[in-house]
Amino acid sequence: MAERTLAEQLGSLPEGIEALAEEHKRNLADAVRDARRRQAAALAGAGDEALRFVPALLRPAIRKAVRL
Amino acid sequence: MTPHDAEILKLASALKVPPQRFGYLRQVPLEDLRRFREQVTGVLFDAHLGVLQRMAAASKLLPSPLLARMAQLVFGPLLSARIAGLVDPARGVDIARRLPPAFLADVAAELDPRRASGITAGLPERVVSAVAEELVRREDWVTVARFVDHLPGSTIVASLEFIPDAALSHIAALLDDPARIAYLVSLLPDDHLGAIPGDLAG
Repeated sequence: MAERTLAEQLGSLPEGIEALAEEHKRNLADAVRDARRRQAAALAGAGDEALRFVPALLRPAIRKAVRL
Repeated sequence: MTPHDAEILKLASALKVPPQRFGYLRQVPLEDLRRFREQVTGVLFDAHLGVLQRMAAASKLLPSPLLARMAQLVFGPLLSARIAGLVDPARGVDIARRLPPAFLADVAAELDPRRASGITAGLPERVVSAVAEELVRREDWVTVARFVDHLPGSTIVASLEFIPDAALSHIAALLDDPARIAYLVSLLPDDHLGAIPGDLAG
């Protein structure tokens, strides 16, 4: 599947950014995508790991609140 | 540092890449570059907002000491910073004061002070000073400038003693709001006034 372009990730771009060469817009799109993936990876790992720290009695309530 | 270099440095810091990667952005009009950085920051902070909001809501069920431990051992600085903007400020302050300055400095580097202003304004002076000292030790002027842009004057004054004169011009160049440069100058003790060049101080 093709990676999302900069405009697809951010919406309408400022004129000066839109006017950049395609290779530079791709470079920016890659940097934004990598930052979003880092955040998603941190989030994906945190849910189950966090539950290990929660007292057993509270786990069902926490699962329900976070919808894990 | 030119205004373009400052913008590129702030963008690179938000995306965790070396600023040299974005050298071609010097040809972009400054206002467009600033708007683009704000767009990027907004997208990063609004990503996964639903699940982060649910995590913040669930945190109400847990005691602060446990949350502080989880922040360090599970969530890490990035998620802690994202969640910080979503929890009740008093709760956020209670958690933050239990965390070591090095971890809080990591969180500060990931934080948008506008989204966590309740927490940053409520932190005890000793905590702010310790975090400022750590950020200065790291020479993380982008983060220091982001906080100078948004923190109340009393908090900035508490941190100024740790900032060397040589760094003040870097920090002034990195401020988003030009009016804050004059404000920063007004907070400086008389014997430090020369640290910010006249062309920045206005």
